[in-house]
Parts: sequence; structure tokens; C-alpha cells
Amino acid sequence: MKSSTKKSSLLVWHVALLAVTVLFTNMTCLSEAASYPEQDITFVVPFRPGGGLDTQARLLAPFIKKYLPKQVNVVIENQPTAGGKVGALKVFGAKPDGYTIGILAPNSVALLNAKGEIGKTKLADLAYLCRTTYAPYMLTLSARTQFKNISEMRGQRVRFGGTTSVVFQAAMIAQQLGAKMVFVTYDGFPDASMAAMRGDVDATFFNWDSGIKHVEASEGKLKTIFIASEKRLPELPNLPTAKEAGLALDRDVISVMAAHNVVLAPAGLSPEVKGSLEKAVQKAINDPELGIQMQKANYFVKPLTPKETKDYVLGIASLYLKYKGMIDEVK
Amino acid sequence: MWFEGLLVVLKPINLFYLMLGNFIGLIFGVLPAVGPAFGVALMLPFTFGMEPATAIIFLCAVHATCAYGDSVTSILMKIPGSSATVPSSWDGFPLTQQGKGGMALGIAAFGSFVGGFIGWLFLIAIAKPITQFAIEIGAPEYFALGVMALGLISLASKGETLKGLLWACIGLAISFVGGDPITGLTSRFSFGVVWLEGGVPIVVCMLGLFAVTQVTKMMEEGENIVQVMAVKDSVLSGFGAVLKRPFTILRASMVGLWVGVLPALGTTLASITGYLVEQKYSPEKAEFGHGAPAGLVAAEVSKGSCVVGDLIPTFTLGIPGSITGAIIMGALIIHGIDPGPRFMTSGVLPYAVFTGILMTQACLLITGMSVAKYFAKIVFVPNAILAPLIVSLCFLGSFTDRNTIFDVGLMVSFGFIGFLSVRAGYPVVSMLLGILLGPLVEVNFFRSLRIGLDSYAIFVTRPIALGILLITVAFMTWPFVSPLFKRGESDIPSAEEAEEAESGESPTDFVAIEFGLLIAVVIFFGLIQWESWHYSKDTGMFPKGVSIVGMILAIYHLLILVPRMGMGYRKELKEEALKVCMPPWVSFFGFAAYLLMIYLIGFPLATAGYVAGTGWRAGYRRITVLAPLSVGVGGTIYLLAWAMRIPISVWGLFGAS
Repeated sequence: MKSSTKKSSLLVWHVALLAVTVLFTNMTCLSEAASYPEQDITFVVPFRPGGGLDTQARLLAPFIKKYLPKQVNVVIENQPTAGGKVGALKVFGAKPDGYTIGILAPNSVALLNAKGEIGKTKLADLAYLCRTTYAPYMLTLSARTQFKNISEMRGQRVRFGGTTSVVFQAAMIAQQLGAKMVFVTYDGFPDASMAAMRGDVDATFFNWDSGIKHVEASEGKLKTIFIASEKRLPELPNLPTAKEAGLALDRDVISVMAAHNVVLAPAGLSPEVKGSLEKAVQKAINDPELGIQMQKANYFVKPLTPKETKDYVLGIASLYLKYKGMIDEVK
Repeated sequence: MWFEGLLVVLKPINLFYLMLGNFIGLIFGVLPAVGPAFGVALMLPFTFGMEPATAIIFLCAVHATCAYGDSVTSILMKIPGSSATVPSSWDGFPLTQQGKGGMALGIAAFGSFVGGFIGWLFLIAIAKPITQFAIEIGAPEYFALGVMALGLISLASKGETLKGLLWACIGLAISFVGGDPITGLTSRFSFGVVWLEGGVPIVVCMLGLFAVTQVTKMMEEGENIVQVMAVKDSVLSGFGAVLKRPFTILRASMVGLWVGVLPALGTTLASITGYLVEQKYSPEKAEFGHGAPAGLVAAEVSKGSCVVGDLIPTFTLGIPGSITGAIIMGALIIHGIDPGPRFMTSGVLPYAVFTGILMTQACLLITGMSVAKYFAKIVFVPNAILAPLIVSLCFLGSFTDRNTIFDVGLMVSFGFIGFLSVRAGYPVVSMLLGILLGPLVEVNFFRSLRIGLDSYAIFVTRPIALGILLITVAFMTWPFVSPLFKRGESDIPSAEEAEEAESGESPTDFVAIEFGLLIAVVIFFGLIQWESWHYSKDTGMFPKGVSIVGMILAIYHLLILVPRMGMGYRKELKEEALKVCMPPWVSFFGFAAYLLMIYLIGFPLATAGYVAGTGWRAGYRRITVLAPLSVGVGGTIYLLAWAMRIPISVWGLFGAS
């Protein structure tokens, strides 16, 4: 008898809890019919907290909030694993209601696409909102290597140090140089540049914004050779382009020779929602205050419009498809 | 310069953030799986608006106390807050059981401080030459270091080296899951599961192997952690316990510092190595695992000095020594501080930062001391309600690493493996070492080959690598060679010691469990072997080798087990004396039910139900406590997830619109 009253009072507690939580959560999702946005927006970052992409997203989020028609929060959700694949698939597969957006690297999206790992998603259908940053790759040589310039590398076995994300790019550079690439994979650019300082690898290939610090810190143990862009960078006026250094690269090849990120949303957004998002994200990325904050964090904002971003990503994707054979080879 | 730096730190705003950072760090620290890296990353955006010095002081404070908070749960409940604090439980928890929890926490706080202080002295004094040496440590040297660290398994498994090796092979096999070691572009052993393509997260393994295993044991034993009625020791007595052992401090801080300075090794290896080295050389080695203060001092000092040692390459080279170091470096850059050789010449700021780091260590000591008293009371909470509470935090913790319920299931599976291992008398820590060292050995092996343009000569032509490998060989063969040189005392532990597997766990109960487990292990290695043949030569090389060695070891253990099969029990069961509160199979049924309910009705409701149900089943019948507690825990999980922006499923299937 006694224990049954105890059990029923337990039940009462649970019902009470249920009621309280129902009230609590209903406040956030009452109706979707009213004008967008009505609830917090999830901003998917396909890497762990603390990385470059994560920092960019965290800097960007409050600015998107600022320019939305209504002041809802833009909440970062980290979806690490499998080199960003899980995060990308999460964005592609999200309900197209405008409450899920993501920041992704076009190179990794293009690689997933070329490997046929993005399921039914068609890259052309996604809603591209903006490009955030753009930092071309630069080639550096170790002071301890036998090679003094790129012409000496022709026909030789050259050890490239870098991360998984630049294997393909380094292979293309090696192919253009006529050198045989031996790629040594490191977990991050700091590790790779240390390997070059020791002379364990001959060359490193990575985005200049994080790379230049290691070159400066190396006290002459690393030498910059060229930057893989069409024009010299205003930030590095003395660093020659690949062409000036004696290596002509195609225009479409140059487009993948950079660390860059885009903000996008799943396919099938209603025009009204898409319009609001595009407007807010574009205003956010062009906000000079964000530019200053990003630059302090060593990121260089190079915005593109939604249309330009789309063409940009699709161009990279088609290049990856064209060089699919090479991707399979370096694997 | 130092004085000006101190003045900057002593500004009221900086002191305020120092205290706030300490407070926040402590909360993150006592939550399982929410380690320093997560805490610092989460706090990073809040520092964007701060002055550089304030931001760094705040983040370092979060980092330091978070590491201390991890030790608190490890010592008091044997639930390590992060893998770095696993060794703290080996002697810390026995001390708690003896009613010396206060002293143990005192050792943790003061030990971390001493280690941190020594690390700090090196940071300001000889950072430059150390770093110059560390630069020369490349892939072949890391490979050699990894092999050497695998040699620790013979120490960690306390005489049962073959059992330790077998379990290390399992750990190594688990570490092979995920991206391949050569370019990382193909994934191994993922069996089509996208979550396995990125590998098995160490934090999830650690929670399963140690926390879930321990919770199961707590629920089996019932009552509460400490059977003594009153704890009379003071936190301050821990200080004396540390100071009395200068040689322990010296050995442990040197280990911690070196592991810290070398990038990519991390605090877990520091604390495990520090503990095992101490176990070999300490005059108290006989008491290790039964509450030897020296063991706890060594683990804590190593960890403390490694945490600061990590910062040495971060500041001098701009190359972070660990994930947390990388996040702090990110913070430095965001705040316009450029780590690297020119850092020390950039005005007052470096001195303010260094003074700030020292202050965080001192502040940690004060915080640790003042709250330890209250933390220590946790041991009087009945296991029937403490255990389900920890389980719900572990469930949330394992979720946060990659925000997926898959990892929660993975953690429960590892808990099951860990539980069976302890029952069958196999050292779980060897498995953790395998998981940690697998990538270090394998990746650096292939890196070395590529650096050496496919020639194996690179391992013998590099003097440091060769030296480390030779030391390893000497170290491994010494127990077999040394009896030839000396008479009397043998280095090989006696049979009794060998029985006492992993940190004083209860020795083998059932032969049947061991038999079943070994059969499963043979099948596991068979699967790894079979799957390895689908990969390219290099990608499949290590898995093939490890699974063959593992299978031979498993079959060997099966063969020596067979003669005992008829007996049914290996040794007398002591269970008649011990009242079983909640049999392990019920616990695991509970975990599975909890997991299912999270899927069906969401995290908060499932948690409330689980806490109430488990407490009730474990014999805790005070509704007036149980009902508000379960509702409170469910609500807390919801609030924690909301505050830390963890995208848990609030409503389960009902919420999926």
C-alpha cells in the first residue's frame, strides 16, 4: 500500500516535469508561418572548437545576427570528424527552412563531390551566401634542402610537407614542375614547417596567412619561393607569383590553390528566406568592423556575392572532377 | 620589466577575470569529458572584447583549474575527468577510500602548483635552448619515442606483460580506425559508418573504459565510497605530503616538462609516464596502487609541469605543444600577440603574460584548497544516487565531443569492454596506451620512410632516434638479463603482485568471462586481419601485423586457460561476504534503456527517468529526495546543454518535426 502511493507520487513528479518542459520548449517553436526568422539559427562548423574555421564562424555569427530582420541568435554547432564530411552532410541534408547554415571549405566540398560521397545533393542547387576569406597557397623551401629554386626541382624527387587538405594541390604543382612528389602528411602547418626547418622535407605548401608567421619565426630556415595567385598580394609585395617565379599555372588551377571558406545553406530555401539570409550574411561579411576583427585574428576577408560564390565553388568542383584520376593516384 | 608586468596583472579587472576563470574552469573540470581544451575553446569568444593580458590570464585560469577539477573526480570517485587524470585515480582513489580524501585533494592542488611552477621557471629561464633541441625531434625520433612508450606497458601491466601486450594490441587496433596514416584520404575499418571515418575519439574510449566501468562497480557495491564514518584529515596535510618528496617532484617534473615541450605528446602521456617512472624508482613502490602519496604526487606534478611545458614551444616558436596549446595560441594571435622568437622582445606584454600564468597557478592553489573540503564530502553521498548522476554526466560528456548520440553508444560499449576486462583480470590502461600511441608509432613510421625516400636506414642514421631505440631494447630486455648480473631481489614482480592487476582492481572472478572475452578478441582480430587485406600495402601493414600478434597472444591465453575450465571458478568467490546492490548486468541494461529513451523522448526526460529508476532499483527509496533529484538532474542537463550550446535532442522523436 505504502509503496504504491510512493510510485504514484513519482508519476505525479514526472507529469509535472513533462508539463514544465513542454511549456519551456514550446516558447521557441510556436509557429513557422510568421516571418523569418522566428528561432535561433544553427551555424554548422565541420571542425572542433578552436580551429581556423571555428574562429571565423564565431567572429561572423554576431554580425549575421545584427543584420537579420529579427535578432535571433546564430548558434555555432561543431560537427567534427572525417575531415569535415559529417558537417558538410549535415548542412546539405538539413531542412531547408533557413535555420541551418554552415561554413565549409570549397576544396573539401569539391573533394567529397569528386569521390561521390555527398549522396543525392547537387552542388548547383545549394544556396550560396558568401565567401568569407581567401588566402592563396605559397611554396616555401627549406634552407637545408639541396634545391635552391624551382628549376632545380625538375625531374627530381621532392619531399612536400603539408596537411591532408593540400595533397591534391601539391600533386598538381609537382606535376606542373615536372618533379616527382613524395608527400609527407602532417597534422598541421606548424608541424610541417618544423619538418622543413629540420630539413626532413624539402618544401612546404600552405596558405600564406598562417604560413608567413612560421617563415618569419624560422630565422632564415625557411624561404618563400612563390605565391600561387594571379597577382602579387598587397600584404606581401615582395613575394613573386608562380608565373614570375617561372611556373605558369592555368587560371582554373590557380583557383584551388588557396585556403578559402564559404557560407552556404541547403537546397530548396523559399525565396523569402533565401533573400533574408543572403542580405544578412552579405551585410555581415562586408561590415568593416568584422574585417578588423578578422584581420586581428590573421584572416583576410575577401567577400564575394552569392552569385559569384556559387560560380566560384562550382568551378572548383568541376576542376576536381577533371583531375579525379590524380586524386585517386595520390590516395 | 617583471615589476611592470606584475602591476598589469594586479589591476582589479585582471584579478576579477582571474577569479572568474578559476570558477568557470572548476565547473568544466568536474564535469566528465569536458576537458581543458573544450573549456578554453568555449570561453574564447567571450575574450574578443578584452585587453590581451586580461584575455590570456582568463583563459589560462580556465585551463589550469579545469585540469585540477578533472583530478578531483578522479581522486574522489575514480571517474577521470579527462584521460590525463587516469593515473591520479590509481593512488588517489585508494587514499579517498581510506578516508584521506582531503589530503589527496591537497596533494592534487599543491602537486599541480609545484609542477606548474617548475614548468614556469623553465619557461622563463631556458625556453630557448630547450626549444632548439625540440626542433630536432622529427618523425623518426617520434617513432622511436612511441616504441619506447609502448615499452611502458610492461610496467603498467605489473608483471602480466603478455596480458598487457594483448590488450595494448586491441588498443592499437582501435587506433587504426579512421583516416589512413599516409595521406589521410582513405578511411580504414569504418564499415560504412561515417562516425568511424574520423576515428574513435579518445575521450569517448576513456569515459567508457574508466568512468562507466567504475560506475558499474559503485552500483554493485552500493552504500557509499567511504565506509569510514568521519574524515578527519585536512587539505593542508597534502602540502606536507608533496614537500616531503623532493626526488619525486624532481623526477616527475622532468618527465612532464619534456613531454610538454615535445609537440604532439600531450598531458596524458606525461601523467602516465610520470607515475610509472616513479613506481619504478620510488622507495614506496610496494604501496603503489594502494594509496601511496608518492604515486599521486608524481602523477599531479607531471601533469602540472606538462601543462606549462606545452606553452614553451607555443611562445618561443609559435608551435603549440597540444590541442589546448593550439587554442591558447589562437587566442594570443586574435589578441594581436605574435608567438614566436620575437615575442619576448615586444615590450611589457610578455612579462604580464608570464606573471599572469604564475598567478593562475597560485590562484588555482587557493581555489583548490578552499573548495576541496566541500568536494570531499561527495564520498558520503549514497552510491545509489551518486552513480546514476555520474552516468548522466558521462552521457552528456561523451555527446559533446562530436555532438552525436553514436558516441554515447560507443562509450557504453567501451564501458562493457572495460568492465569485462577488469573482471577477467586484464589491464585496461594498456588498452588506453595502445589507443594513444597507435597513431604516434604508425604515422611517424610512414613519415620517416617518406622522409628517408623509402629507405629503412633513416631509423639508424639519425643519432637521437637510434639512441632512443637502443635504450628501449635495453629497457625491455633488462628484466630478463639482470638476473644474470645480480643475485637476490628480482625485478620481476611476484605472482601475488601479478594477480593484483590494474590499480588494485578485484582480481579474476570467472574463468568463463575470460574465456568468452578471449574468444571475442580472437574474432575481433580475425575481422581486422580480413579487412586489412582490402587496403593498400602501406595502409594495411600495421593492422595486419598487430592483429597477427594479438591473435597469437589471445590464443596463447586461451590455451593456458583451458586446463582450468573444469574448475568453473579460478579462485574462491568472496561474494558471499559482499552484498551485491545492483548486479552489473542490470547496470548495463540500464545504460541501454537510457540510450534508447534518449532517442525516444530526448535527453532531459530520459535522464530524469534514468536517475529515478536506477536510484529506486539500487534500493534508494526516499521519494522526497529521489523525485526532486531526478527532476533536478534532468533540468540541469537541459540547462548545461543550453548554456554550453550542446545540440542535444530535447524531445527525442517527439521533437523531430
